This record gives sequence, structure tokens and C-alpha cells, in this order.
Amino acid sequence: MASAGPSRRRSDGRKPHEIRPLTIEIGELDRADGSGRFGFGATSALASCSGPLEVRLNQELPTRATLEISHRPLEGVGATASRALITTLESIYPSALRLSLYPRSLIQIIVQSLSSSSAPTLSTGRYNESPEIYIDTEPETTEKNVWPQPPTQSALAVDKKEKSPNTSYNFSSRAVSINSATLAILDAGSIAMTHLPIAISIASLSDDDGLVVDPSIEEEYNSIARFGFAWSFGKNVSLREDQNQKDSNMDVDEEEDEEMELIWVESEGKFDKEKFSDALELSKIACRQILSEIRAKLGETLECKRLQ
Amino acid sequence: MSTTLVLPGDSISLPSSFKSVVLGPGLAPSSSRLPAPSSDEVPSIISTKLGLMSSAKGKERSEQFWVEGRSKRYIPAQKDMVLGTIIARHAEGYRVDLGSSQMAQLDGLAFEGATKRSKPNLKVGTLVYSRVALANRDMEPEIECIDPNTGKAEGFGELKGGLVVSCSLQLCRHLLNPKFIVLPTLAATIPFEIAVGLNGRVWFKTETVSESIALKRVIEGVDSGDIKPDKGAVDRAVKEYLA
Amino acid sequence: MVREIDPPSIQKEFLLAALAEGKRLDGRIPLEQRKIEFVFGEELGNVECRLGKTAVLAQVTASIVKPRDDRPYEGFLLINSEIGPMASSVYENGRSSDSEILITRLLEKSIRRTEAIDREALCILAGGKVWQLRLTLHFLSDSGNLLDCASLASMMALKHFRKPDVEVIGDEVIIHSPEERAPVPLAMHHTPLCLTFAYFENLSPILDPTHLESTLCSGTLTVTMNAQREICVLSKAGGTPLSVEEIMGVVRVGVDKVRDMVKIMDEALEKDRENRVVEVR
Repeated sequence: MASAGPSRRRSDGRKPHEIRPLTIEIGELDRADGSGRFGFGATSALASCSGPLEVRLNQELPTRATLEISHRPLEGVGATASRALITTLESIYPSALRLSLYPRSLIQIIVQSLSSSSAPTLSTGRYNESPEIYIDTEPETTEKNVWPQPPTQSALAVDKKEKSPNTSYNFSSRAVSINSATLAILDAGSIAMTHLPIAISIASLSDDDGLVVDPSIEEEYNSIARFGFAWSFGKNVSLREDQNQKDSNMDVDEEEDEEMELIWVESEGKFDKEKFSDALELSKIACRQILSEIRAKLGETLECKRLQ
Repeated sequence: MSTTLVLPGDSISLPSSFKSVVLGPGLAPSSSRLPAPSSDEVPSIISTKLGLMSSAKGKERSEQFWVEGRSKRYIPAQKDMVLGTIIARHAEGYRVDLGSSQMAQLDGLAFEGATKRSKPNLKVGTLVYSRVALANRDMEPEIECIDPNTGKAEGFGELKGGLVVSCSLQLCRHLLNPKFIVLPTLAATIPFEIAVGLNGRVWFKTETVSESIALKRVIEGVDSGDIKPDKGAVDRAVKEYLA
Repeated sequence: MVREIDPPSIQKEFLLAALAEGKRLDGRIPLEQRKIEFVFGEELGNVECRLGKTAVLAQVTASIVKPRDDRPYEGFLLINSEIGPMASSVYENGRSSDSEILITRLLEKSIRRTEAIDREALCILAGGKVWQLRLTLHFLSDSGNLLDCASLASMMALKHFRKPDVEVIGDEVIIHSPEERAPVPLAMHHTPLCLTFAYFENLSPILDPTHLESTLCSGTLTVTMNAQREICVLSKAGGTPLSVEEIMGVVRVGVDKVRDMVKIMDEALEKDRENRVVEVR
């Protein structure tokens, strides 16, 4: 599968295919119908979901619910990076939700990033070039030189590599946004969902090195290629022929039987076809693992709040 | 009762030993994009929400299945008993808020003994206990304050005095179950009048203000999971809140 | 945006009857605040404050910019406080409601105009480089009294934040990474905090109104005070007229409350400091 031996350790002590400890919480916001918090280690996001609500006349759709997705960055106001993330979410959720069951209504999903957005920016050391002039209307210019910065080992080491552009979210942040939105919809419980999207980020640290699953900010910053994958889990979500025939006495929660389909891919940097397919395979395993953690955690939460 | 946790998209196996099966909330035939299964095959059922798989015996050897989840948002369904607030009046009746995406219509004649000459005159802001007469996703829901079988009010209509509490739809459903211990336990300490709406609202009226507040805090506590729904915990909470 | 639906009229009747007996619906007494909780984030300057079920997240970041020509010694403090639909569906992205404007302006007055932050201490190189602090507030859940919760979250985030140590040699500025030198806390003059009281006709005021209470009240009064018994801002936008004695009564209550709140903040900060490694030596 991956070219790296599983014995190799990463800078934070993890194995190459190990994900950081997950945060999975639902129902903490009182005024939203549903809310979810999801985190890979320190990278986390909080999402809320409300609906079906009364829709404004000019947004009303006669055959399905209007889905409104918004995002707020941790610092400053939403800009291009936020917009890109919203576009991602908008490509995932309409197919997972049965919007046609709620015509002429509004479903709101709001994602709040809880960790700082992108690559480290305030370079420490000698600083004598003239600072940029402050313009309030343009968050991009002010988001540079920001403190606190995510940790980096050495900024110099990445000079020649393909750097992640500062203006967009790192893949870890994108993945937590997707996962938190999924949790929020689950918690709301008022919108029918046919399959469950779960996302993961993967990075390639160097040409000959293997891939790492769920890279930390530091790893992602020093990587040569980055991938984001989201898989949707659900019976009959997949179109593949080989999963067509199934014996009819299926059980709830049977890992082998789970069907999944790739619903989101984003990648950047330098990689070849082989690396991509390796990453794709790894993402499958990681998403399955996240799904089973979500299942375990939500089972616990629901058990605590049981009424009988 | 089974206690399996299901997530949306999970396939559900239904035992074939029952004559008929009733699918409740949270379950749907999978909208497969694969070629349609042959007629003798059992259509595959998937869950569409998070919750615990539940089942109960229905009429004539049928079995009912549903997903017991938690939600705060009401979607109108026919025959539900609901608590609504009148938010506007018009010539034929009232517009009522049930907490759903659309306002419900309450006809001025849908009251016991109402005629064109003498109709009840309700103000904006009045709380009414009513029954959903018509619920369709493409139309505004219609409610009535009358039992269509008897033509009598049967407790429906304006609620005067008292207090409304919002809680999860699931708690409301449980409160209506006589075996659910919370209300009988409360009744042992506090005498009260109650109307439970399936739209996540509970109305009650007691002799004193303190009793109402205690009742409200217990219901909210049970809903949030802070108070376990057993006799001891509810009793302790009532005593504490009344003190 | 989803319109706010007024609670049924019996709710107001009950609330007034209860308040007449000096009781509130959540079991509090009139001048009691809901429980304050702070959750600190991974980074310095990231704090989530909960006041009962109301929740606000505050985040402070710093950057280096050029000062204004007429104020070469002063740094900047910018406050972003946009209320989005996460707090409640009645708020809308990009469109400010009246309550949002009121909250933003009061925060501006009670944090920036009271000079809580020593802005001259943000100067690195006169006329050349100063720190610009950006305080971003995220309103997570509006269960009443967002303002008090936001002011607590803001002051806590500012107290919690540390900026990197800088050194100036001639015209050159050296920024030390946290590994080299421990980052330094901000210089603060005092800790102004907002306290909101709600009024009902002919009844004594209540502190820290819930969502229902603020929907039904006839007016609110917000005082911003610090632990040194100073009134920084007093704001009363409409509502029933109040006499001097009534206002002074509220202020006297405020003096004690603010002192308690500052104590809670200091304790939370102390607890966080024990679990966090800031000093690198």
C-alpha cells in the first residue's frame, strides 16, 4: 500500500498512518437545532445546523429545501478561503440530504473554524522590510504576519518546495469542517440523510518518503503534496458493480458490508498517479476508522441521554 | 426492545416473521441507483437519522420500527396534538406558530359549537392546544381545536394561565406515555394541569409560582440529561427546587 | 433570516407574577448572574466564555503595521463582532440587526474607549512599526445577554494573550520566536466588564436576563465597570424612565459583581497558567 514502513515515527510520535486523537461532541449549542464539534488534535471546528425553518420568499424553492451553508474563520472576516470552503461543503451536502422532503423551507449549516487558518506567517528573526500598510477592508493583507503562528521546525527547509498558499485553508481544517457539519446534521435529527460524509487529509512529505495520514500543521506546511478526501458511507451509495449482489440477511453495523463512495477530492503539490492512488486507499481506511469512532462516541452520548 | 445505534445510511435488517411491518420516522426504503431488485426480494431499508433502533408490537401481528433520535425541530404530522401560538388573525381564522417551517392555519369554525354567527374570538399571543388536521409537505399545515369524531372540544382550545416549556420532541412523546415515570412522580408532590404538544412544547398550570418553576426546571433537567428519568432523581430534584 | 416569534402572552403573565414574588424561571434570584465558565484554546488569546447557555468565543491575534502619522506612538486594537446565524437563526450573515449594532458599539466603548489596553505600549518603533491587535468575537449561542458574555470573553482573551518579544537595534526589529524568548503579556490599565440589567414595569431590576426575559422586558440598562469601582460606560437605550436612586442602586450592585467576576477570571487564568508551558528557558 504505502511505501513507508509502519515502524517510522513522525515528529509528534505518531505512526505514519495514525490519526491524531479525535474530538467528537454533539449538542453543545442551545439555540441551534443541532451542533457538532470535531477535531483532529488541535485542529477543530464547530458547526451548527437548523431546519427546516421558515424561508424567505425570494429564496424559496418549490420542490426542495433551500440549503444555506456559511463559514466563519477564527480570525477576521470571511474571505476567499471561506468561500472556497463553502463551495466544497455545497458540493457535498445536497446529495447526502433528502432536501426534496422539505420543500419551501430553509436548512442552515454554519461552520466555525476553531483553529487558525493556514500556514505560519509571522516569520521570526530579523524583520526590517517595511510593513504592509494596513487596509481594513482586505483581510488577506492583514492576516499576514499574524501571531500566534502554528509551530514550524524550520521555515528555511521548505523554500524550494511547493508551499501551501497562505490564502486557503489547510487540508486538515477543510476535513474538520466537513466532519463537524456532518455531526451537526446528525445532532439536529430533523433532516433525513441517506449517507454520511466523512473527510480526512493526507500529505506526502517527500518524493521517496511515504504518505502520512492526518498531517499536523507543521507536516502539512513542509509537505510536497497534500490531499483531501471525503467518503460517504451508506447502503447503496456506491454505483460499483461488485457490490451489487448482496445476501439479504444483512446486519446493522457490519464493517465489511459498508458501502462507500468518494464524494470529495482536492489535491495540490507535486505527486504522481501512484502516489494519488496510495493516498486514496489510505483515506478509505482512515475514514472507516473515523466512522467507527463516531459511532462509538455517539452511542455513548445517546445512552447518557436516554429517556427509558 | 433493541438498542442498536444507527447512523444515516446504515442498512436495517427486518425480521421476516411478521405479517406486516410499519416503518416509522428515520427509516426509508433505500433510493437505490442500482437496477430495481426483482419482486420477490425484500426492498432494502436504510436509516436516515441518528438514533437507537426501536420496535414495538402493532395491530394484528404487525411490527413497528422506528429510529429513536433526538431533535428539537417539529415537522407537522397528521393527528399530532400540538401547542401553538396565535400570531395573526384574518377573516376566516388564525395563523398559528407551531415551531415548524410554515405557519399553521386554524379555521375560525374549527372549534366546538362554532357557527358563522358565533365564533370564538382569540387574541394574538393566545396559546391554543390543537390537533393537526392536515399535514402535507407542499401545503401549510391545518390545525383544529375539535375532535372530528365527537365534535366536542375534548380539551382542545385556548389555554389560560400557566406556563409553557420547550423541550425535545422525544421527551414530549415520552411524557404522554403513562408508564414514563416523570409525570406520575411529579404529581405525587405537586398537583398540576398539563397539556403536552408533540411539537416540543409542554404547558402546565399549578397553584403557586414556585411549583410551576420547580416543574419547569425538572422537565428541562430531564430533557438535558441532568436529571435521570427515575423516581429517586426526580423526587430529589423537586424537593430541591421547591426548597 | 428567520423571524423571531413572540412567546405566548401567558408566558409574560407568568414571568411578571414570578418576578413580583422575587423569583425567576430558572431558579435564580433577581440579582444573580448565571454561571460563568471559561474554556481556553490551544493558542494564547483564544477563549470561549459561557454564561449559562450563552456562549461567545474570543480570539486575539497580533500583527505589525505602520502607525498613523498623527499618532506615531500608538498601536491599534480592532474589534470584529459580527453576529452570525449560529447564535440564533434570527441573525443573518452580512446584515446587522439593531441588537448587533448595539452590542458592537457598546463593546467598542467599553473596551477601546476605556483604554483597557495600553496602546502606547504596543509601539515598537515610533512612526515606523506598531502592534496591531485584532480581537475577533464569535457569537456561538444566544440564550440572552450576549453583551456581558462578549465583554467577559474579550477581556479574558486580551488577558490571556501574549505577543512575541521584540528587540530593536537601530532601525532593525528582531522578533523572537517563543522558543527563544517567552512571549510577553499585554500592558493593561484595568478590566472593564459589562453588566446588563433588565427592567419590568413597577418591578425591581434583574441582572443577566435570559433570552425570554430580554424579549419580554420593558428596557435594559448596561453599566460597564471595573474592579476599582469606576463607572466606564452607562448605557440605557429607551425603555422605562429610571430615577437617580434606581440607577445608583444598580451601580452599587455592579461594584460587587464586577469584583466577583474579576476574581473568577483571575482564578481561571491561574489554573490555565499551571497547565500551560509559556516560559522557555
